[in-house]
Amino acid sequence: MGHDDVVSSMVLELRRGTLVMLVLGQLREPAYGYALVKSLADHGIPIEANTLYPLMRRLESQGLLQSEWDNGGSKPRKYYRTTDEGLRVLHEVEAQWHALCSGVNVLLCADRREPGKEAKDAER
Amino acid sequence: MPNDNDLIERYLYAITRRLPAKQRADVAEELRTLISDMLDERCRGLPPTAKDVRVVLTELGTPGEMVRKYTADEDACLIGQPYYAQYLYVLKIVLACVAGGMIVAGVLTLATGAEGSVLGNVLGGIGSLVAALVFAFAIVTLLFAFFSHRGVDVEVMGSLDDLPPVPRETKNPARGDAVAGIVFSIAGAIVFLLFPDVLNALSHRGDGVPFDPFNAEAIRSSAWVIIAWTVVCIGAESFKLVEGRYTPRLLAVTLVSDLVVAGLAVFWLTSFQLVDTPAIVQALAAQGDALSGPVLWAVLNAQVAFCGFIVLALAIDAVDSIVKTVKASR
Repeated sequence: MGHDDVVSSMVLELRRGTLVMLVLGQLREPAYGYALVKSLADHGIPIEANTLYPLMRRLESQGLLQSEWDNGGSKPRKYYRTTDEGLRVLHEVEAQWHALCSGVNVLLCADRREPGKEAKDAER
Repeated sequence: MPNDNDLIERYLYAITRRLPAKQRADVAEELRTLISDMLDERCRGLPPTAKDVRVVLTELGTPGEMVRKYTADEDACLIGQPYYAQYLYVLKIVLACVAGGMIVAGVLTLATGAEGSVLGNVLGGIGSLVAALVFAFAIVTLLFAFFSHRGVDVEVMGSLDDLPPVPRETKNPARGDAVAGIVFSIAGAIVFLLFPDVLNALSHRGDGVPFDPFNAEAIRSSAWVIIAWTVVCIGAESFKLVEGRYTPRLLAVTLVSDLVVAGLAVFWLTSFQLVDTPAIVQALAAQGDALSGPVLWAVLNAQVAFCGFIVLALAIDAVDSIVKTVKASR
């Protein structure tokens, strides 16, 4: 596995971990799948439709999302929104996320401030 | 463009036909709108060409990939880990035993001068060998698929108090017993299913006249009892292998399987005339050893005696399992 492959697979893992949280957060307001794909991409989080659509279906079966078909427009669209249970889950996961981020940031910054440590690690 | 719609519909059909029936219409409708949105974005108001449709569908992913993503959370394998490793292990033992036993039986049949041509016997033997291997494979696979899908816990380590003690011996105590059990039950089945003819062919009276001590026809017509017996034994021993040590749960399975096997043995030996006792008595008489008293009784009631022997062996197995379980729990 080359350098780029290692990086992209690690980034993919990071993104996968945050995806459910992002979907639950974004769907506080009802939206259809492709609109969510676009809005995430606009924020620098490219998610493929073939990942998002099955994920939303799974979250719906877990009771974290609910959906409704809207046949009024030019095309029939399935709108999803986060349920009350989904919001409760999101609330707790978000708190964990912030704690994790601050911990990780502190550790990463500390590593950067100790260049000697890096050299020692390289020697090992 | 009807042609492109056709491609989209074929694409949707290829995906949805492999999804659960109640999801199909909903997934197809949702993906149809998604594809239409992606085409609108790509063509910016112009009518999409066949190439646009191909590009969009390629971007979305192959039907196989889509199906995998839609069914990713389902338990999509027949035998998952940690059962798979044990499954392979048991499968190797069972197939080796069946193949070995069948080959020995085949060679003995040929050596004792079975009727028919050698080529015919060899081809028949190969046919039976393949059939027996396929049957054994199917039974072991079904057993482990059952373990896997019933989610029989392999590791009972919910809390620190449940951790098993480090065994004194280096090898796993239950494992050796289980392997021996599997080998014995298959060997037994092969002896009963294939050897009556061989034993009959080998039996000669004192005066040189051949006779058939076993009623091969009755043994053949009751083959299902032997097969059921073997399957129950292999099932219980495989569970022992999966469990890895003597636990109360394993004891329960062992006791139930002992009871079932005892029931089958009693039914088999009391419902079918498997041993031709008058022929044996006659043969011994012809040899000059006329039987009388308790020996005559034992020979005439050979099946009852054998039945008692099996029930005794099963009782010993049950007691042995209870003792090992009590020891292991200390």
